[in-house]
Amino acid sequence: MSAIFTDHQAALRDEVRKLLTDGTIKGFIGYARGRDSYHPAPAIVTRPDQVDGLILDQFCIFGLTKYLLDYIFEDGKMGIVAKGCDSLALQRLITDHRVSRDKVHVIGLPCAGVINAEKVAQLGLGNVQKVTDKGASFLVEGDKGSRELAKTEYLWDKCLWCEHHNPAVADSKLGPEVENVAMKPRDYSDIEAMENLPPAEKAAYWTRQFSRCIRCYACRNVCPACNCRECVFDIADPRWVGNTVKLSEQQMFHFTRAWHVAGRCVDCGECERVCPMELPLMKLQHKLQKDIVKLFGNPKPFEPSEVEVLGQFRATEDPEEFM
Amino acid sequence: MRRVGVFVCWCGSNIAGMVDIEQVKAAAAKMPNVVYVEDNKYTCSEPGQAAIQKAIKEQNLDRVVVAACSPRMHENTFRRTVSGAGLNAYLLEIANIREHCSWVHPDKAAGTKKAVDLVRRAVYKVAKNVPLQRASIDVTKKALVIGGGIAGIQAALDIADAGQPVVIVEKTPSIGGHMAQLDKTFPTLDCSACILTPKMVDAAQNQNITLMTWSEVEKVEGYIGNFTVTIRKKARHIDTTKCTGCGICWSKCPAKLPSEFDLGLGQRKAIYVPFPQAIPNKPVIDEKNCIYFKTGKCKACQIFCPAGAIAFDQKDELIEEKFGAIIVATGYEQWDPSPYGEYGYGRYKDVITGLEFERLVNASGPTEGKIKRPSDGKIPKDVVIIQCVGSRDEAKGIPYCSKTCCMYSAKHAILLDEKIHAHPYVFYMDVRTPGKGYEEFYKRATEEHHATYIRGRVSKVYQKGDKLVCLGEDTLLGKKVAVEADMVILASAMVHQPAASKLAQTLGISYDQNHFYTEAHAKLRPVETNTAGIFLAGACQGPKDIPETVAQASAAASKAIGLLSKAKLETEPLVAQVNEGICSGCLWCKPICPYKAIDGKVIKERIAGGKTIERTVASVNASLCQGCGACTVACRTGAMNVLGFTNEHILAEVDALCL
Repeated sequence: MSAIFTDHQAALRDEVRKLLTDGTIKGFIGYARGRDSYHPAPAIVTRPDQVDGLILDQFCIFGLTKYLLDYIFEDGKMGIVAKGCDSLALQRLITDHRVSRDKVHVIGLPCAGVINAEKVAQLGLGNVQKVTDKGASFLVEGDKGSRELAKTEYLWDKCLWCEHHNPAVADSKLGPEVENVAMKPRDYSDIEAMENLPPAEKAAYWTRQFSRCIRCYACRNVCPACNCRECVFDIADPRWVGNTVKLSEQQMFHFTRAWHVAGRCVDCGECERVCPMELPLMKLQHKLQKDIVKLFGNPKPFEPSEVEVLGQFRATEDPEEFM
Repeated sequence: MRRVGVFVCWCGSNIAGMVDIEQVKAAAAKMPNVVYVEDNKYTCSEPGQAAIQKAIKEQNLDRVVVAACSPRMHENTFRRTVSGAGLNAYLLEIANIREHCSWVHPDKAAGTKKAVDLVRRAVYKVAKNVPLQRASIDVTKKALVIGGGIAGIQAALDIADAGQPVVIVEKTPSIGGHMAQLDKTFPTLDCSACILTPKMVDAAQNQNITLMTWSEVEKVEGYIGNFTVTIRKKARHIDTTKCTGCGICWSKCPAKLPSEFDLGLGQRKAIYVPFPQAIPNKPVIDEKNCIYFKTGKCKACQIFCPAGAIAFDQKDELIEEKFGAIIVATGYEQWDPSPYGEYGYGRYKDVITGLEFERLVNASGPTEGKIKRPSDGKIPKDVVIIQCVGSRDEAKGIPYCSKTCCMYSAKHAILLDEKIHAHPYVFYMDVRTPGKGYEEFYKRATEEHHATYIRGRVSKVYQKGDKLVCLGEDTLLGKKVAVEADMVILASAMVHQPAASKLAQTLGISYDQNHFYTEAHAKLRPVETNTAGIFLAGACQGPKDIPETVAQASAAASKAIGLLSKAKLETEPLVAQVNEGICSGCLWCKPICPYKAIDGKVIKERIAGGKTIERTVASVNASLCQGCGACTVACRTGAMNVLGFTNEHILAEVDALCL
């Protein structure tokens, strides 16, 4: 399972340059260097001479697919680079009929896990020069030192149980596919622990969490399942949820959002990652996932499909004796 | 500013007994937009309604709230009242302060408080109401009757007599149903076939009736007045236009099989009509058992058929037809008493069911009406009839009473005495004879025909020589009894058709825990289902005897006739509506709609920069939509609204109750 994104950077640039030159795409959504070597930034290039600004490295965690919504009414195709998890997000947009598959050129990026930059940035390694895959660990070499970091400790949590290492939607792929096995099984033990708490403790926990929300909507804006043309939280009339900073409004906001993406969440974890207040938002989604698995027997509720568990009427096949 | 009038009903003491009307009035008067408040002892009475109309005119009201009983009772009444005074019928809201309040609360202070809340909810909601208009849809003037037993035949005849075309779909080769299998009928003992066959012939000859036997309903789409039904016409392998029903084919057919019509007591051929008076009198070929279909050889029927009517290559046909009304008359099945191992049904040949006895005693049956024991053909002298086999037994059978067994057991007792002077012993739990002439009939069995009725259950039946010993208890005497019988008849229960639930799902109607179809209201709407335009007749709704079945069939027919005689149907305007401006076109609503009323459509839109784009939005077919609201909860944006129950309405109600 050796795959370092940086190894594919040149190939990516070549392919994007070719696609832009031959007119296959009119723009490409990728990554560029951000404020430091740990934080890439999204970049949209439209001319071949901009292509050398694109980068790929082991810190490219965030998905880019939601930028596609900015181009749905424009002519021509957009190109995009997508890891396995990003391809689920893209599938979400496609099955929600928000993005048309034939208007996207997807360069797939097989991925064996992305390093949690926030953890590495604490280690004082300085600007990262090189990352090498050592099997169970990554060797990260910075200009102020280098460290070998165990994957189980330094990858993003979602990468550890990921079963979508290779993009499901892709027009071409960078490098060979990687072995598609989870490093540890997906388990909902933290959710079970929470379920078993006394109601008062649960309520206290979530009150503490939601009271910290600043209603910045970053969770909504980054979420590929939050793709409505107009979000219910932005509609003034009828205003289901007020937008003042007030506990009851915050709770209503988070519950509504959780239910709006229930059964549609692709488990990318971006809501939780981008939350400036570090709310454990994925706990809500994992609880819903766990329930869907149990109640509807769908083992992978985070994989978008044409017929969604919570999006159909099947009373006529109701196995219940009573209708 | 609206001008809302609130009318609080006492409903005699139904409401006034548990709700302080004066307090409700005082509170209502202070609610926003309310300009007039009045109370009435019975608002639904003529003076009550006149008061509303008077107030609308004099007080210039533009919205009305009636605080009374459930909208299921009188919403339509009051809609007519307000529209009679010139207001749109949908500018009315009902606050249910009876079923939701006075009837369920024991505390007057709390009940009053809740009544005030319910009125406030309605006042807030009615302010958001807008005038809605009913549309009209065409009615397909044709009825479908599913099932060709006595219920279906009667319903079809009544509809046809009213001048409307009707199609009977029957799954077996002939119409007639269970009634054709019976010998005599209680309480008059007239011959079942003699009274049924004229009706069968009438049905066959009636210009307005089309018989589709050996056919089944496969798919039902659409709605009241406009059902589209797909019927599978199973391959008969007979060209019915050529067949004369002469019978040579089945006399020549070499494949002998147990006859379903005779419940396995007699035989039929692989090409057969189920019984001599079958209608149509045209055979079917049983593909599974026909030697030609199994081996590719034989064709005896084809060789001998003088009309050249055998068509081995016939295939099932799917016929799609439109109907305005559907009557479900699929009847019942006799319960298989095998779970009562102690009675030995299936083990002892001479233990038979009630329906099997009907075939034994019937002149067209396997013994030509001679009552002979199935085992050795001897004429039985002592016969035990066991009642409630399956019925009223939650452990082994079914919880309900099958209603007909007491009477048919009395009939069997009479026939046994009358025909072969056998002595009938009837083991019973209760004898239930509510019906005209029924008690007298039961008395006739005991007094004139000397049937011995023993109150108690039989615990065991076992063979002793050529006798069947029935051990039981006479609970009236409190002692054990043992009757040595030559034959045992089990009065087995009436249960649902095996495919009843499947058909219910096809039709979109509901059924109860016993798989009998559910009527819309147990007392007041006994032949309607909850799906508009679909009616029930006969034992598919619950165990029934013939008179009851016929009465219900005629009732269902009159409902269907009423529907078909309308030039147009008015539709409810309370349907879903799409706010295209905010609809994302995700179409999550489409698979969720139970009525297939939603589809995507492409709209053109000018966007910033002057460019015109095309995008997909949801679109509702208003005549298919039933206003259930499933789409509105599926829509995250809130682009779907059920008119009369919009997001705005609901939020106003929440505000009224919670703020």
